[in-house]
Amino acid sequence: MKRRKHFGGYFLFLVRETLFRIKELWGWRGIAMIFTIAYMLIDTFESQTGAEIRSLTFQGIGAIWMILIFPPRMGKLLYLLPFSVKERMRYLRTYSVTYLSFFVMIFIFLGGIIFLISGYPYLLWVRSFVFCTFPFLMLYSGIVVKNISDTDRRQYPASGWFFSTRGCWQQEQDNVSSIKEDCRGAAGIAAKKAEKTEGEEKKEREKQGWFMAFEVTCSIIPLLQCCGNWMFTGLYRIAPWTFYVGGVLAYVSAIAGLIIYWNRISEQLKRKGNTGKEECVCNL
Amino acid sequence: MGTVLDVRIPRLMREGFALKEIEFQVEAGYLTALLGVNGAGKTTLLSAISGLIPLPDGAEVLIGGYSFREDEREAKECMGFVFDDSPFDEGMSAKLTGEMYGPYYRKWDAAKFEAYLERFEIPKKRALRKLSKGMKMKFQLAFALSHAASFLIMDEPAASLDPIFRDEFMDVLSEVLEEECCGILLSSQLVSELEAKADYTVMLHQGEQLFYDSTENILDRYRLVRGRYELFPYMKSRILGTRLSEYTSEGLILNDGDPVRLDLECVRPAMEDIMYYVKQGVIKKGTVKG
Amino acid sequence: MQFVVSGQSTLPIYEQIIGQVKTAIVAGELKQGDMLPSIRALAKDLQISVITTKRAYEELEREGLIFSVSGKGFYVCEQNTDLLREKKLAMAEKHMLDCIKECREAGMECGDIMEMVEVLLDSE
Repeated sequence: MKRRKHFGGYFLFLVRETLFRIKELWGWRGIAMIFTIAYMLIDTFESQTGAEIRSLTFQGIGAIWMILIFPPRMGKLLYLLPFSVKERMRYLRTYSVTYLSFFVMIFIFLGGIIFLISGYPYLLWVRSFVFCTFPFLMLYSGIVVKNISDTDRRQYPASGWFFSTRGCWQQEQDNVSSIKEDCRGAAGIAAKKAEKTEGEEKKEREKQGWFMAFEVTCSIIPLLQCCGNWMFTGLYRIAPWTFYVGGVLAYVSAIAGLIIYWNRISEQLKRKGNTGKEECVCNL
Repeated sequence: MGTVLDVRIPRLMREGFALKEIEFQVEAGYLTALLGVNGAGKTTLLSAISGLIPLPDGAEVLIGGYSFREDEREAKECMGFVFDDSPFDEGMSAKLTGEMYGPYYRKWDAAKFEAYLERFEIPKKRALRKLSKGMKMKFQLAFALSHAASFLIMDEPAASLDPIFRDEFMDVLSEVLEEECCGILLSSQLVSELEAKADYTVMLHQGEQLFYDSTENILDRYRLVRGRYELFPYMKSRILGTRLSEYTSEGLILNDGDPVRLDLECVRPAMEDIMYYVKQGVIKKGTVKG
Repeated sequence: MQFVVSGQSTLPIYEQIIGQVKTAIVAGELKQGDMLPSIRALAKDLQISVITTKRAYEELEREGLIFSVSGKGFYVCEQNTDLLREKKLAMAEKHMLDCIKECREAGMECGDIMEMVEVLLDSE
């Protein structure tokens, strides 16, 4: 009797300490997240049959909490850092889109786990999960790999978050204009070169921007369609072909995207950091 | 380099508090102190200048020559900030914050930022919330100095720092000012510490700007007379305000060159004394020009 | 030359600087042609405002003790030795007056004061 009480007390102590640590690390959101996920898992175990429906609602709640932890929020910085009003709007729009993408990703991820636990036929789940999310994951990993391998980044370090909010084309423009500034005093050869390429680069960047938007849209369609049939059951019932067309589009664009990224990455690896700045002979 | 900040706020209402008739400039290479008792409106004014609260019609803030209304981005490119409650995400490390938010500035120099972090001995990979208050301040300063800002705005930066840190902080500011490419606006309650260092002073009281002038001129405008209280009535017409205690009496007079009785001590006031009389309501806007 | 300024003193800082430069010149520490630290360097070193040092230097220039060469800095003027001696005598006289005042307050008579002076001169 005494021993059990002793262990009980010790167990409570551990639980309390763990909760305190989590609160220290992640704040109240962290604790809420833990509780939500625990509730979701318990709920899944309890209701085998209703797992599909009920777990989806809790997936949503759990995902919301996880999202609140990840993407960095700017708060006051949005007004202190150099943003024009237009850029601030763009930042907020991008933030919401990224937020949404995260949300959907986590949704799928948690859904997969819950389906596994609830005993839903594993193969069925694998099929729908893989087929639907694969293009999106391909694209996302392509972007991540490109950012990591971007040698320009070392000279002008920026995070993927920065690229998505300000836009890579803006940064390139800044790069070119900063080269122009640096070489104002020098022989001007590099400056003229930069001027010439600025127009071309801008066009190139715009093209890439449009292509990327196309890729992302294509990948999102099947993703949304399968992340919870209750989202798109209407569309699927009316025109089941949308699901298949969306899937095909997603795969085609993802593969095309990967090929382009691969080319760009290998190009950069061959270039090895020559951005034209070395040709400029002026002191800063 | 000239004027880095030009502020003109005829009237600004915020949560029941009003700023009235604010007008001053900050010049590159000089330190302008913003003084005032608690509740005088310093934080509201600094929030308006840094863009945290919107400017009403008729108000104008120009940073580096760029107006907030037309070229907001350009204006903020020139501005660096250090606030007592840091606006940065506390969960990120110093290095990550620099990587994430630095590139938004056109002239961001990552190497310079790293050099400052090393000089201030700020651990690069530790989350900001785990750093001491002094470290957080220095981190903000490192961030503010790494994008060639021409205007630094600081709200009580040294408030929670121990005297050693405060000295180091002021040392760095002196270095920055020496290069004459940067002007600093700093609000602080450490009036006596700042008095010697501040080139210009702006005094706020109840939302109004009482004076804006070089610190030397302000302190020259007044004299304090000290001595036995019985002698004060001889100067009754000249005394603007008094501070009396059991063993000593002190009065504030204008320094208009007229002599004072020899048995009364006549000294130049310190800025703290001026603030005391401002709070008394003795120094009003009309009494001082500039 | 080393400067010592105190925020606690009753004298404003610019006057302290002026006084110290004058003392240094009178004592011979600063000679003609010696260069004074630049306005900004002095301000940074003493942790004071640039306007203060500028004021001190302008005052010294007005009094004819230093002169400025644009683009270079401030230099000590050629000092009139007689003028210097006069100034030194004036300072000494002032100190003596203060001293006499103290002695009077202590209740000393003229003879007591002279005695004290002789004793101090002997022990020098």
